[in-house]
Amino acid sequence: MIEIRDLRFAWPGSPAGTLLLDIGTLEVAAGRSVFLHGPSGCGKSTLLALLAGVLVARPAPNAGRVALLGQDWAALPAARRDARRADHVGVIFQQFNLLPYLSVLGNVLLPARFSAHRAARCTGGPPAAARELLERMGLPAALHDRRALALSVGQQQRVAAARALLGAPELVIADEPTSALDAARRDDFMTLLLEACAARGSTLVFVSHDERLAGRFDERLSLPALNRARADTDATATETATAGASA
Amino acid sequence: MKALLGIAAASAWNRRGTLALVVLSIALATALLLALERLRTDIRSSFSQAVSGTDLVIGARTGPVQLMLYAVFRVGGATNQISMDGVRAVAAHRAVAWVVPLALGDSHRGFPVLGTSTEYFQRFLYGERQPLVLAQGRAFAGTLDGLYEAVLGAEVADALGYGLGQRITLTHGLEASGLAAEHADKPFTVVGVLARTGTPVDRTVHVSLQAIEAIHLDWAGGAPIPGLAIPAEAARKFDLEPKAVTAALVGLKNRVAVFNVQRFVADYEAEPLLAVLPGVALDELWQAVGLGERALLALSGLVALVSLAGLVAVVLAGLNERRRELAVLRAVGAGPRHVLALLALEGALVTGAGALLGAAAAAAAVVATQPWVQQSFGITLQPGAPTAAQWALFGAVLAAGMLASLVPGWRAYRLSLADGLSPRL
Repeated sequence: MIEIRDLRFAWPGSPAGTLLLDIGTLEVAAGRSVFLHGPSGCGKSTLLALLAGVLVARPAPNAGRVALLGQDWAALPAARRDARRADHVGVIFQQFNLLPYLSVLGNVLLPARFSAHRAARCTGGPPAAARELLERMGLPAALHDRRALALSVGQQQRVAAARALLGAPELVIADEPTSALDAARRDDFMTLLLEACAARGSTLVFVSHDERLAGRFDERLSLPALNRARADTDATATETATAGASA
Repeated sequence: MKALLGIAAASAWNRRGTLALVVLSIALATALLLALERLRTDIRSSFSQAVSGTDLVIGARTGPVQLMLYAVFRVGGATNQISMDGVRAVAAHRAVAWVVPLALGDSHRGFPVLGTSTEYFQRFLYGERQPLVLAQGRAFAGTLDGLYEAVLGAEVADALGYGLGQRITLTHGLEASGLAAEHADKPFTVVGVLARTGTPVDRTVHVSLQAIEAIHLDWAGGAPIPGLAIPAEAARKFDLEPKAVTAALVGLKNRVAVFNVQRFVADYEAEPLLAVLPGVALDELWQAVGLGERALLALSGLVALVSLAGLVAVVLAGLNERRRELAVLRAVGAGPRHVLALLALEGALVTGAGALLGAAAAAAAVVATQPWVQQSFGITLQPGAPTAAQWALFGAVLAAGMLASLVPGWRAYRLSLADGLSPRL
């Protein structure tokens, strides 16, 4: 499902030899839910962007294989990556997930606009599937045609989850989606998200620094443990890490 | 692209407050361009349609354009008159077929009064050599019995609601304000109304040369002579043959002689005269006016550019706040090229709305001002289908707007490439 081999990634413009990510192997099987944790700035968001094909580990010194469903993102041209992401990946952000000028329903339907594949996988057509997902996320029909920003933050996150799940993409990526929610709403959201992913067989990669959530997932991964590079700018540390990686 | 169009429209609608101002400024610029072009085209066609079949226009020595303006278009006034002796001398030239004298200077409720001979109704041609046609009644008789008869142009009759038999009084001078002295003692009767021509004839009240003489018998220096009042009936007993007129239209037996006759008029020794070829004088007019036209058009073009710069500025300024929006779009499968297209579409929608609104405003302005322009300047505005030049200007505004929209589009493209899924704000 997800396969990472010998990934080395540095942002362009960072000093030569400094890597943000250096991961030997990471595999996630289909349908699993994975909790990925690590401190701020350790490269979690970058890893998610690589998994979603928004970034690729090219050109040199960036290298390695980041594959989704057996297809290495880096082997595809940019336009194909965008189309493939639309077809197979759903994304939930920390906050500000919704386009303010679309209705709740319009936001959920966005993936179907960009992907015929996702639209085709909606049973009963995208609008019906979107409404069903919203109901499942605890958002009654009365809210569906409201402006997205008229909803509370907790409701907005659930709309974002419904959007990520529309058309049952193989991979759902969530980047600290609960950090803006209070404890009660966070637990509700987690339950809804995990159930919905399980019901559709979607693989979930969930990033958070809040380790209290980890227990509800199939797998728990620590990015600092996986990552052989050091994200800090300390020259000696970086050199050691790079030396270790090349050894 | 269809997916994007809906999003672009919704996004633009969401910021309609700001964008409405941009739409308005683009609309004004477009309206300015289109209305100016319409005015330019219609002024030219009105002027070139105003007289035909007349080989020379003669008048007191002045500029050729000025002579044409007051003699044919009733714009401005003559600085000097010409004597009837001079007119008769020209008429006696062997190449000259006919001469129609024109006496201007009085008015009726703002419409110019033309004193002329009955031959005017046969000789005067306009457009494609079309003769004047009486819609009602007949031409003035030109005799003493029919001394106080008037023939109205179509616009005069329409605007003032006059019909046959209407009694009118003439005003001395061209003032419509009511301050000018009236020739109230010698009222005229409308005996004919001309069919519409789309030329200054429509705005003209036609009377005989003798009538002009009669109403000025007891006048001197632009005012009634105190203590002297000659009643309308008594005026018939005076010598009413005019001594001087404002200008004259000349038709030749053979156009080949036109420069001969022109030289003959210029060399006339008894008084300084000028003869102009209407076509040549019009060309001169367009040369003089053309510079101003181009300057106006260039200014309107600049106004359009400024409003498009406003569009770019507004969209660019809003872009930073929309970086999360772009990230969301990227997450659901939009590529950077979609983001570029989205911003460009938004700009195109705003430009399109502005240009359409402007075209509608220009059309409305033409329709609304048409009667006034017709009445005041004798220029017939055509509110019909856009001219080729208007289409070109409309297209140019649209194209420039789309081109300008690529600027924020390109900026958004760069941003979304750099930001990916996590905007660095």
